[in-house]
Amino acid sequence: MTQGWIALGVVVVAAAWLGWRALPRPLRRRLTGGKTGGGGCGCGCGD
Amino acid sequence: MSTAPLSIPGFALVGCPNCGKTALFNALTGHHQKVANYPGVTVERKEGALTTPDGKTVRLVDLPGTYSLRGRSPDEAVTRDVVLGRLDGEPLPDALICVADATNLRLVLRLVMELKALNRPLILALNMVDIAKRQGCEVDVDRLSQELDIPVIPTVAVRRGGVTSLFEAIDQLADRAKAGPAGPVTWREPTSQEIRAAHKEAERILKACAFRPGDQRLTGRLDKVLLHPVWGLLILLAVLFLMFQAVFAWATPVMDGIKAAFDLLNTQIQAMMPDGLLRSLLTDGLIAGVGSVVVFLPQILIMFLFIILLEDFGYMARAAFLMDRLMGSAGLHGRAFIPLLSSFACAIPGIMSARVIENRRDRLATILVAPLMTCSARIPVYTLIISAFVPNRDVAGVMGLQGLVMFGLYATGILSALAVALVMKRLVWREVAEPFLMEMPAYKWPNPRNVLLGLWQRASMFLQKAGTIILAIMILIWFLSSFPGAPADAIEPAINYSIAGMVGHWIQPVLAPIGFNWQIAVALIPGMAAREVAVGALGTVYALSATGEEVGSALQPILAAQWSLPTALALLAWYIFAPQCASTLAVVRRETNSLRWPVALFLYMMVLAYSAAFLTYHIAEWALA
Repeated sequence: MTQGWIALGVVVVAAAWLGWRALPRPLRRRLTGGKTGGGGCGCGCGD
Repeated sequence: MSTAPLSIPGFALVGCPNCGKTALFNALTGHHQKVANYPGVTVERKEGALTTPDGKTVRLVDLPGTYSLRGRSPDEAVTRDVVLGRLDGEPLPDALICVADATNLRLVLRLVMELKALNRPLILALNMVDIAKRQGCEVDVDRLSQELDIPVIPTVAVRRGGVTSLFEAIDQLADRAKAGPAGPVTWREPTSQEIRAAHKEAERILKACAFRPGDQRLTGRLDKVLLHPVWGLLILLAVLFLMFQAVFAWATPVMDGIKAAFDLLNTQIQAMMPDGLLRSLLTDGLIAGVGSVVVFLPQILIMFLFIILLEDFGYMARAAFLMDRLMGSAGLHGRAFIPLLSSFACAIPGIMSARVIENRRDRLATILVAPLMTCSARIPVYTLIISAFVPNRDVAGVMGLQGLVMFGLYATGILSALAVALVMKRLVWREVAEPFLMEMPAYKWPNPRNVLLGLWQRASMFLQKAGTIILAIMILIWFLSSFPGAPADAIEPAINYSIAGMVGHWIQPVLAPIGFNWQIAVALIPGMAAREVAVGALGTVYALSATGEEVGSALQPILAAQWSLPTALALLAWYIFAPQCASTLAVVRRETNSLRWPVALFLYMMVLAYSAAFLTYHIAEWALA
């Protein structure tokens, strides 16, 4: 049962993070006051 | 933009393209670098920090290459705006370091004079003095310093030569910067008369300070062969061919090591943890998913090793020259070679670097074909399928069949890009091509430090992606592939009853004509985020589909057993064209400032992908029947 709860927590965190990354960059910038985290596409372009 | 405290002096590196500016930046800052974009534009911003022998910390920005402050392209405009303190959020540099290629001093002198007229503290780093000496070019450094009335420091950036003297000069300027802020910077676009006068003055200084022999000896001799219309193209083909052979031949031992490490981790987790959901998430989701992507790191690094070495050696500009005629025949501008070459790494910087093309239609044509070049994200997909289906044997005793197939996939990508560009230019936009002028850098030996730094940056980007986006998607895929669980009386693998299984079965009829099964359908959906994610998704889906002893981290044998050869070939054909990268579409939207072009890109690539996979599948089926 504990394994199930931990796994569910990991899934929720991953989904929330992906949902956050899927938001348009200007919206993320507005919500965080400038910082967006960058590195989304992973190629080093800063997106 | 800058996060450094304002009390830290800020220096900016300015110079013409290919003058060794970035090598000097690396030599001065080492690995203390941050790469991002300038606000509002998609021009790369590199900032680093250095500590002088006196213990002062200095912030250093590596600005895009430019020949003058009258910047025409967005890159050049950024350099001008930073130097003039006009760019929002970017502080006015306290001092400038202008980097000059000693073998081609003529090119930079007018820029130096423009910078000097700004009345900012300025140093001239006379780079590549070793090559200049070898070519018989002599520069009277003291006289040049006297004529320009600024410190001139000879450097050999790739070997860190002259860096100590440059540090000392920076130290002195940092003191001046600390003493108080400089006055406002004024600049206006020079008139043609002023440009002619500056040109004359540059010629006078050049005559007084530099002697350059007419014959460039080694560079000239090498160019006679490497730029030859026949031999040059054959050598270029041979170099590319060697690169693809090496990707397969050299990477195998390291890949086997990574695979063994993931297998060991898998076994350890299974031995330590009782059966349960968390164990399944770790083994079937993370290790099978992320592990199957990370295993391709050696191949990606070998590919980039070649690209970095060729770039440092000075060969890439020659390759652009050789390809110009071919690209011109497809209606592409000569400058399109640079974005298309960048797209071999990733279409995103490729599309962004299309800004070097001034004509809007030429730029659009380049942007629309750039995603057809084989990006590094396709490497895991290609190598997985090639290793599983193409036998590892020699052809004609000299080349490996697997490397040959990989070469064919790259060549198909290039030829498709040229064909699409030709269709666009012939049918949509009919314009006369603009001339292409390019400066050929001198040949030089690559610097191991720069090569290692480049590889390190590539490896960390790849692992960062594997550890963030891919990891998160794999967790979701595992969830969608595990829930709802199988009923008590189930006879098929549990994944068949899961959400992913249902979605896969639902989409599969659309993909059946091109030979794709439901597992591929499941993998293609998250593969929209990034191409290599499909490999991880296949890893997870097959790990959860497997029963008993079939479970393992190696995906290749499972695919070889479960897919037919026509299906594998169709998937390769699909991946040459499929627009499976959401970031690329987003960047096209941003660069074209319109929704029309990313939609057009998506549609034409999707039609090509489906048609190519359909034809490949049916031709292969017919041939094997």
